[in-house]
Amino acid sequence: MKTQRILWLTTVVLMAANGVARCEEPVRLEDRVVEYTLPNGMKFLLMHRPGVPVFSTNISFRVGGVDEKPGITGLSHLFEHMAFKGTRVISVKNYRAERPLLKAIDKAAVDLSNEMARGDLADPKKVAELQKRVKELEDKARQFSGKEEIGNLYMRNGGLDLNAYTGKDTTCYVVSLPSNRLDLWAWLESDRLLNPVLREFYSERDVVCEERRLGVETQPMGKLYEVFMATAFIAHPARYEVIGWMSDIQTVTRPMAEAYNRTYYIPANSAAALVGNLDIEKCKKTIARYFGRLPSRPLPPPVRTIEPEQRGERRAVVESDAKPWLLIGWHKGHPLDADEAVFEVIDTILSRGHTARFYKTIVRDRKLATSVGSFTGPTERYPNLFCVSAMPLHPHTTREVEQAIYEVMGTLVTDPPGDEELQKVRNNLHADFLRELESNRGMAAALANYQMIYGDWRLIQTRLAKIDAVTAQDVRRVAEKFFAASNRTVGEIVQTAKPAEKGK
Amino acid sequence: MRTSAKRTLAILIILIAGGACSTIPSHPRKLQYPPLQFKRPRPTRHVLGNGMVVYLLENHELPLVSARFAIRTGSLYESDDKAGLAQFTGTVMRSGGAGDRTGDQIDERLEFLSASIETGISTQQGGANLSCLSKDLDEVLGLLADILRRPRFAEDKLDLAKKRLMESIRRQNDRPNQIVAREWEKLVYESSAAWARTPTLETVERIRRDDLVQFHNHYVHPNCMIAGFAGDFKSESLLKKLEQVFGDWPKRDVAFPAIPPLAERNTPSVNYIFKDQPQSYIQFGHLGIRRNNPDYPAVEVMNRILGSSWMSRLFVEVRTKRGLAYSVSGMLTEDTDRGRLRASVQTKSQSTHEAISVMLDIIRRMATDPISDDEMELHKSAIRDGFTFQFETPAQCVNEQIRLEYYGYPADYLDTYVDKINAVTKDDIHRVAKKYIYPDQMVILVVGDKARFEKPLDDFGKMNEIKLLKYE
Repeated sequence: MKTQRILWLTTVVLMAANGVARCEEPVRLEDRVVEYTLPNGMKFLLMHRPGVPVFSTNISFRVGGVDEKPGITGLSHLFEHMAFKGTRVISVKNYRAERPLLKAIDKAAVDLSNEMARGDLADPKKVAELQKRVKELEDKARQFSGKEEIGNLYMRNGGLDLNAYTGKDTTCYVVSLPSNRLDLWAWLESDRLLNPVLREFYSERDVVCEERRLGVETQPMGKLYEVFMATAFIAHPARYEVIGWMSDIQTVTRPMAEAYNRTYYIPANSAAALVGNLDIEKCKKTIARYFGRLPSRPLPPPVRTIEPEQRGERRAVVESDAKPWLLIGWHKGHPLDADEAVFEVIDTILSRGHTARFYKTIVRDRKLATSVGSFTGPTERYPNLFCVSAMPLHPHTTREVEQAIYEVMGTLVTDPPGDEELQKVRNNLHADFLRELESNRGMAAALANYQMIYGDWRLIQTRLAKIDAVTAQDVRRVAEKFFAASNRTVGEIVQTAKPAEKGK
Repeated sequence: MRTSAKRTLAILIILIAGGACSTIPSHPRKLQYPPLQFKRPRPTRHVLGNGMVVYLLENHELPLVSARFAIRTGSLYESDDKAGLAQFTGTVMRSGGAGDRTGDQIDERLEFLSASIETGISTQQGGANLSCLSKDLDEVLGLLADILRRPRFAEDKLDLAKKRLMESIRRQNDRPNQIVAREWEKLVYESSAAWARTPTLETVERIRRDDLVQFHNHYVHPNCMIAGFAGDFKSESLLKKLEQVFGDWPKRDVAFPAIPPLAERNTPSVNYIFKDQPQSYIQFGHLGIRRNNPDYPAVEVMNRILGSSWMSRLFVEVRTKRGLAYSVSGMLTEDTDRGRLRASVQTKSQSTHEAISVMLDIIRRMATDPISDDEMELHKSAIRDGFTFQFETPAQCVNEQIRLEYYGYPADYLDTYVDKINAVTKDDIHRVAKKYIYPDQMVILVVGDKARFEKPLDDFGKMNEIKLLKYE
């Protein structure tokens, strides 16, 4: 149950007919994945793999940080936590007795949120009283609920890696099971879509506050990333960190989460992938029986805000007791644009391994930084950034490293990649695909996410042909078009003197 | 009338829905499962003429091969004044070139093939990992043989490795998780112990190329290696190839310096490191058990009940009920000399005292609090039914065999493990909790800002403040 910043773009590519690997039968994903769509619109991607009798699952919903706005930032992720709290049947002893208590808790919690929304003007006595009341009522409600039954049932049946991940684009629920436990998965997952009960909401909210402290407030890079994205984007909700702002997490209420669930957790807005040693025909029957119960509902609204063109460099600074870090990002097009394959090639040329241009020049030869890497993000459903991050090597400054990064990126124009460099990129991206297939979990994640983010899991395969077609001229054209100073945001951690410790 | 019609309609819908779902049981506990057919894949074991042990497991689903070579060495065997030597030997063995190629040439070739060879030496093991397309195996194996047998340890690559490690030393107090992990180990192992040795700017500065050459010469020999291959190859021809690239490498007796044994018990202490942040990073516990302890199956079930799983007492109380933390855990681990009882949690500064108290209490009561039938059955069946996953990929199977042989576990370890778990009783768990958990010897470390704690740490014992080094 953690937030993700994983970027699916650069992870999976299929072998083409002219693939580099000697393979008696070329691995063709299309031959191995069975697509199965229920009348309610929910899509299932089923892939049989020989081997030990286990399988991995990934149910992905097209909902994440980009669907949020001020006031509910972090709600996608908080809801993900709540999806483990059970249903009218699971994790409950007496739902009838519990239900009115949940309503009473909400009432106190809404009062509390309204008081807290006054910020510094909030009455601390009233806040403390309401907090106490929410806690007392939740403890009272606990006598009618059971504890962690979803986890309990999966665990006692040999389930492994039960978890969920929320990103800017999707929210994914995963578990791996022995092959004979398919019905358990179908039972629990369809039930939590049909009858969710968001019990223990307010204590879980506290857990998420701790998660924010853990991942953002006590981590120098976490702090920088949050401010950096909020600077690079001024309008589009790509600008909010997935975990959300602290004040939003602390005041969001259960009725808001229920409304969110009703809007986004609908069959046509989700895809599930099952990968492993499975009988595909039996799978289809089980899926139809359990998930066929979910009613059809209309698709949620798209995000309408379009990020305006950037006109001038932006800079973001975080003061910290930590050593310097650097993060630079340029706005690029939509991940479904034709230039995406070119960015993928550029990313590989610049950053992959010890023969990449960044490592060779900045780390190995000039010894200005200990690492330099690139990635795209934070979203893949909407136009995003091409980013470079670096950790300067003492005594070199972020300015020196920043300058060196621009110089290396300039070589994309002055010294575009030759045949061998392009062939190396292709070899690596082809092999990545094969390696992705080694893992049931990785494959399930790729299938479900490609389907939800790009609308077609086959892109895992078809993008390879586009990468193979990228030329030196493409690299030069894209570098010239996008990597301009006026289109970039630069973020850095600046070390300040350690604050003196307050005595007690 | 209208209301009543609505109600009838609602009942009808429920009946129809109920009918359609008649094959779905009302609760998942009522589900029945067909038996699981599972045969553990067994790598074959071979020994080359020079003593190198090789495990092989063929799998032809994908045109890929992965391999691991475990080398009997570790930073345990470096000296205090050259802490970091083993690490550099492991890194520069690969980056500094080998045979007739420079490190950069090896990088170019491997990366063009989308292959990788990574070497490294950690506290008690050295190793090399290889991954490549099966068509390239012969060539990549030739490079690996050079790296293991004929490393050049080029000066410029040692210099680069030193600069990078020194930078990470300068940055080692930037993140509280790093501080807690490192400083708690030092406390529990006592800072002079080889087990908790960490490089400093001074020890790194002192290390010379000759030291690496010597360390490599001393430890890296075929009879001190256990290799394992998984993937798309033919065992017979791979064995031939291995004889070809490693067969003329003579065995040699290696002397391993004696490592002073650790104290039997820890002295309890309460330690604090200031960090200006809104959350406390807390870790506490004491030395644990040695490997191959016959009580380990009971310890594993105890760990799951106590704090190594989502359904554990620590997780449910600290996270689910009290909302005090995102991450909380507590378990007793085994290690060569020795494992740790280690509990950790991160909570807002204002609940630091509460989190420690609650966790100490749950851990203390592990030896006496009744264990429910549900807890026993849940955790035992989780281990039993989850056992399959330890062998999910061919590489996992091979790596597990390497690990067991490297650390001297009995040959039937995996065959008897599930039976041993099944045999664990509630009394066993209370017994091992009493035997290995010492509530009066807790070494506690808190990283955070004590000005914001709700109560002073002195409640747990006299607080000792640790000042970290500052780097420019």
